[in-house]
Amino acid sequence: MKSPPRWIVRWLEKRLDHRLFDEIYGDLLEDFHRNSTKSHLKANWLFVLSASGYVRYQGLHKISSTPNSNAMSLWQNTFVSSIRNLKRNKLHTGISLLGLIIGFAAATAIFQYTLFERSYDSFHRNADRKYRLTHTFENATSITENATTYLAVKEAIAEVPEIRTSTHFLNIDASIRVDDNIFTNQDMIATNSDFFDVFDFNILSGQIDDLNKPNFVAISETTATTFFGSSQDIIGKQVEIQNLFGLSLNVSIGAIYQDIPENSHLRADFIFPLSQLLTIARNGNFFGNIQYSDLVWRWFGYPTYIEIGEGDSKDLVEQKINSIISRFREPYNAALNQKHSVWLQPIKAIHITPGVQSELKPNNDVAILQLFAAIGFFILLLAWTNHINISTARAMTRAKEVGVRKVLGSDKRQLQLQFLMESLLLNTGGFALAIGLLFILGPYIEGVVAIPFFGNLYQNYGLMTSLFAMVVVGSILSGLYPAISLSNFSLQDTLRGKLKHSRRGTTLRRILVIVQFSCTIFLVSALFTVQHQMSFMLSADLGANIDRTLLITGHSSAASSSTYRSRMSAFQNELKLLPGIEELSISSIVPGIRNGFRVSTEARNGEEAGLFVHRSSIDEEYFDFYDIELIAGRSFHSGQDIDGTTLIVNKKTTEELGFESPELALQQPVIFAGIEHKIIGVVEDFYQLGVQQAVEPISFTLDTAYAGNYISLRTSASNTSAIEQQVQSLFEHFFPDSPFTGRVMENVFMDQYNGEEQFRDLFSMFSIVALAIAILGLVGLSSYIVSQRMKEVSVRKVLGAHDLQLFVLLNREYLVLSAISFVIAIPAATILSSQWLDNYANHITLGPLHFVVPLIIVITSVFLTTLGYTIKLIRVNPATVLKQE
Amino acid sequence: MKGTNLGELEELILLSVANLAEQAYGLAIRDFIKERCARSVSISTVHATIHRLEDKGYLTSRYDNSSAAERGGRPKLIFNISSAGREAIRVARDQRNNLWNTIPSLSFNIALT
Repeated sequence: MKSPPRWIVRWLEKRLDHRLFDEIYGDLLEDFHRNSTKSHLKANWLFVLSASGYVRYQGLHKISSTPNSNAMSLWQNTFVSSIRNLKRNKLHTGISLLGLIIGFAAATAIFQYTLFERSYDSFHRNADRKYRLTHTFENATSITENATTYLAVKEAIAEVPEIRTSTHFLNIDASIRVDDNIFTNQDMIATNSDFFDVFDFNILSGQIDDLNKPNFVAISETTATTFFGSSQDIIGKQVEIQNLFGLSLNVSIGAIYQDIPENSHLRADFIFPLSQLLTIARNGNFFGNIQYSDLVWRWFGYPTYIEIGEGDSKDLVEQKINSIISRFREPYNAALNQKHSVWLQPIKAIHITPGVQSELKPNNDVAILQLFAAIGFFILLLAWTNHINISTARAMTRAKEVGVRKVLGSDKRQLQLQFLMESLLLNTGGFALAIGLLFILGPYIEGVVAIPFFGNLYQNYGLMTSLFAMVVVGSILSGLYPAISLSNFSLQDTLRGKLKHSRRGTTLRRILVIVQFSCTIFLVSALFTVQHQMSFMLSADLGANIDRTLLITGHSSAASSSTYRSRMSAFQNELKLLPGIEELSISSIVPGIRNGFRVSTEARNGEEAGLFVHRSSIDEEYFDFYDIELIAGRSFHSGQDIDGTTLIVNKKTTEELGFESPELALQQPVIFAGIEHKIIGVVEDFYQLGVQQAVEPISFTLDTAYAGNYISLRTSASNTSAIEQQVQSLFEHFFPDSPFTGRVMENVFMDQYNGEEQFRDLFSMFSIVALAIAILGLVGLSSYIVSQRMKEVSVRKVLGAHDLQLFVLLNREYLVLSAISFVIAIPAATILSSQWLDNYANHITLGPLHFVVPLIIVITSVFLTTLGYTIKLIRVNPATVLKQE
Repeated sequence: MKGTNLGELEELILLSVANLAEQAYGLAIRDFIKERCARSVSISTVHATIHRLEDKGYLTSRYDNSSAAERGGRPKLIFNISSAGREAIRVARDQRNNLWNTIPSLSFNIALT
C-alpha cells in the first residue's frame, strides 16, 4: 500500500497535540487511501493540502509548539529585508523577474503541449492492451505500411482465444439532408456497436445496439446540435443520407454518443451500420462478378482494432493473426507477387509514431516532441542563467551590506538564507505570474497550435507539482552560488570596499554567458534552416501549373449513370461559355490531392513485375491545362484512344520499370488487372503532392466518363471569387441535389503544409522567447559592467585612450564569447538540422549561410543591446568618477 | 445567556454528529456535510471544531479500533452528542423557528418574486 509523503507526516506529528495525532492522522490516512485509488499523485497533493490546513488551528497544536520568538523573528527579518532588497533594485529585479516569467510561461506551455500530444488515446480502459492491426506490404521495389486491413480480418481472427474484443470500421462519404439543410463535411464511418466496446466513448442517449440493425445511425453530440439545434429528444428523428454508393435512404437516429475527444486518433461524427452498408454493396453491382467470399479478402480499407487479455503475449497474438491472414490471402498474394504481414500497434503509440498510409489524422513525431521538450528546458536554463548572472554581478555591490551584517553578528548560515530567500521569492513570484499570464494568453496559443489543451492545465496535478518542484529546486540552485561566495567574503575586505570593483565571479559569469549564447545561436540557426526549407517548399516548381485554378468537386459514385454523364457534359459546355474562364479540364485526380487509386502491375511470362502505379483518368486537355511537359511519344486523341488501353506514364514509371530512356518505354505493354495497356507517351515528372514527397509512378488513361471527380477551371483574373459564384449558380442549376464544393487550387496545395507550418510557428515562437530572455539578461549584465568599469575607463581616458580604442576594448569580451559559443553550437545545429531535413524527399542543402547568418544576428543583437551602455561608459567624465577617492 | 450560543458551523457539525449516530468521526462528518449540505469543509476545520465542541461539553468521544487496518493502525475517535449538546441544538432551532414564525407574510411574497 502506498503511503503519503513522510516529511509532511513528521511535520504534522511535531506540531499536533500527541493525544490528537492518532485520530487526525488516522482520518487523513483513510482519506488518502480512498483518493489514491484514483490517482496517487492527486492523493499526495490533497494530503499535503489537508495536512497544511492544521497550521491554522492553534487549539489543536502542542502547548509548546508555538514557534520560539527568536527563530520567528529571524524568518520575518529575512523575509522583510529580501523584499526591501528586491524593491531597491527595481531595474534588475524587473529584468530577472521578467526573464523568469517568460521562461516559466513558455516552458509550461511547451510541456503542456508535449504531454497533450503524448496523452492520445490513453483514456480508454485497458488502453495498454488495445492494438491496431497495422499492415505492411512488401513487393520487389517498395515496402508500404497502411493503417487499414481487409474486411474479413476481424471475423477470421475471432478464433484467436487471446482476443477479448475487436472492432473495425470503414470511412464512408455521403451527404446528409435534415429537413431542408444539406450537410456534407461530416466524418462518417460505418461500423457495429462493438466499436463502443473497444473504445470508451460514452453513449449519451438511445440504444447503441440499434447500430446493428438497418436504418439506424448513431451521431455525436456536436453533430446532433448541428443537425437539430440541440442534442435533446432527437432519438428516433429521421434524416436522409444522400449519395451513399449512389443511393439515398432514410434513417432514424438510434443513439447519441459523447464527442470523440481531441486527443484521440479517431474521428467520427456520424456512424452508419456496417452490416447494412455491406448489404447495399452486395446488392448494388459495384464489384462485378467477384464472389462475396472473395471480396471480403480483397476489400481493403478497414482499420481494425483488438483488445487482448491481461498477461497475454502480444507477440504470440501477432503470430497467430499473421498465420490466419496468410492462410486466406495466399492465392491473391501469389498472383500479385507481394507479401504482407500485420503488426500490432499499441493505440497509445499511434499518434506519436510517424504516420502510415490512410491515417485518420496527421500524426506527430515523438522526435519532434522531444525536440520541443528540449527547447522547453533550454528556455528554463536561459531564464535561470540570467538570474544567476544578475545576482552574482549584483553581489559585488552588496559586499558592504554583507560586512555590516557580519559585524552585527550574523553568521554564514543566516547570510546564505538571506540570498536564498531572495531567489526563492523571485522564482515563486515569477512562477505564479507565469501561470496567470498563460491563463490570459491561453486562447491565443491555442489558436496557433490548433489544439484546445489549456482547459485541463490547471487540473493537471502531475505537471503542476513537478513544475513547482522544479521552480523550488531551480531557485535554490540559482541562489546557491551568490549565497556561498558572498558569505565567504572576509570581513575586512568587504568593509574596506575592496570587493566592490573586484572581478570575482567573472569566470562563472563568462561560462553562463557562453551557455546562453550557445543556446541562442543553436536555436536561431535551426530556425533559419526551418524557415528556409519552408519557403523552399512553398515556392518550389511543382512541374505543374496551378495558377489561377478553381477546382470543383463532382460526384464520382454517380459517374457511371448515364443521366449524370449527359448532365455533366452539358454543364461543361455551359462552363466553357462563361466569360471569365480560359481553360477547362476534367480528371479523376488533380495535383494536391492524394491519389488513392494504386494498383500493381502484373507479371507476364514470368518476368519480374509487381510495381505499384497510381492510376488516373483524364481528358485530352489535362496536360495542356497543367503545363505538364510531354517528353516522349504523343498525347491522347479522342479518336484513337477511346478503348482505354493506351497509357501515358510519368518518367519515374519508366525508370522503375527499368527502361533506360523514356523513348524505349514507348509501345511497351503494362498489365493492370489482367488487361494489357500500351504506353504511348511519357510526361516529365511532377509533384502530385508537395515537394516533401518523392515523385511516385503514375499513369493516365483517357476516360472522360470516370474522370468526373474533379473539374479544373483556369480563370482569367487572379481573383476567383466572382467567377466562383457564377460557377456555383450554374452547378446548382444542373445538379440541384448535390452540394457545391469549389476551392482555389493554391489553397488545396497549402493544406499539404499545415503540419509543417504549425511546426514552424511553434518553433519560431519558442526561439523568439529564448532570444528575448537572452537579450534581457544581457541588458541586466551590461548595466552592471558599466558601474564596475567606470573607474577603469576613467583611468584609461586620463592616460590618453581614444574613444575607438575604448569601444573595441569594451566589446572584445562579447566577441570572444560569441566566437566560443559559435564553435560549441554549430556542430549540434548541423547534426540536428540535417536529421530534420532528411524527412523531406526534396530539401535544401546546409551551407555556410545557415551558420553565418545566425552568428551575425546574435552578434548584432548583442552589439545593439550593449551599445547604449558602451557609449555611456565612453562618454564618462573622468573628473567626476575619480574625484570620489 | 451569553456563551452557550452556537456558531453556524458548530451547529452544522452537531447536527451531523446526531445524524450519524455512533458513526461520527472526523472524515465521516466532513463527507456527511459535503453530501447533505453541498458544502465542502476542510478536514482540519472539522477537527478543530469537534474538539472545541468537546471542550464545551457538547460532544463525548470514545476510541474505536474495529477498522484500524486502512488507517495505518490508528483508532477512530467516535463522537456522540451529549445531553448539553442536544439542548444546544434544540435551543438553536427554537430561536430560529421563533424568528421564522414572526416574519410577516408580505416580506415573503416580495422575497419570492
